[in-house]
Amino acid sequence: MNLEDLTSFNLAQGVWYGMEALVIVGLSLYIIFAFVVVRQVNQMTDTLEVGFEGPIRFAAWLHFLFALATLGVAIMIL
Amino acid sequence: MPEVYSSSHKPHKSHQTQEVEKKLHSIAKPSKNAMSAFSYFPPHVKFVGTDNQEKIILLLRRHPITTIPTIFTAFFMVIAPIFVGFIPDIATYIPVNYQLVAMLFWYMITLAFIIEQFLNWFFNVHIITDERVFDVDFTHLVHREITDANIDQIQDVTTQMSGVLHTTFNYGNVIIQTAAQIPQIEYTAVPNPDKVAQVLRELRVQEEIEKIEGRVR
Repeated sequence: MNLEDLTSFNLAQGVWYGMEALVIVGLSLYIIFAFVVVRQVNQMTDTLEVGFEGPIRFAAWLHFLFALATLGVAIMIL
Repeated sequence: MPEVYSSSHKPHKSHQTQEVEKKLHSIAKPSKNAMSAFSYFPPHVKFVGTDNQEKIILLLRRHPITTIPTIFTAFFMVIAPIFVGFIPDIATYIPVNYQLVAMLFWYMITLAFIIEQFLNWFFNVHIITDERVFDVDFTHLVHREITDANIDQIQDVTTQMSGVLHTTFNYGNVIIQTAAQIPQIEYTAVPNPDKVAQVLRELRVQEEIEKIEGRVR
């Protein structure tokens, strides 16, 4: 980075870099939440079995994979 | 002490017990639907709190009509990004890549909301077995609370139906007063509260007969 680049590094760019970091940290935390949902579903289906456990577990894993994919997309395009 | 005699013969059910069982089976039709809010004699239900000999008579959830506000909220969450497109010059304020990530995040939150609300409805159940009544509460992500009381500890059963919705769709609260450590178990917004009370009444009679005949487990 030369002196010219440093002077052109304006406040707006800094805000967007900060935003990018925030989005990635936020999405990483969200993945933890999505994993907790998977564990919660396991606990619930262990407590009560009614013959509909498969679709519920699938939805929880789908949500977890969606969260992973969103983080991947954010890292790639931001 | 060694066992001198062991009989494989099951204890004979008295005429009174058979009558009560017949009444119990006539209250409602058995249900095989896993999504039902009123499952009578559900065939494939297993609950962690019951023992092997215990038979699940009734599985209750909140009446589906109570989920309508949640369904509307989820619907508006799904269509909300369409309205963002009407904000003039949005692309000049927020870059396209950020818009895409924001939209993905929004739909992820929407999916989480739908899953959480469904789990909340599906797993917050009330169970009546031939021996006990249970109230299962998953209040938040990692909190589970199971309350139970023996049928013979039930002292009083009250049903509450108030308002147009309750009367129109035949749902309400069933309040069970018990002599157990937790004095009250409340089944909230369950379908057919009168039938629930009737089931509890028959089970209490059955329990009394079992006590008299010395067949208490």
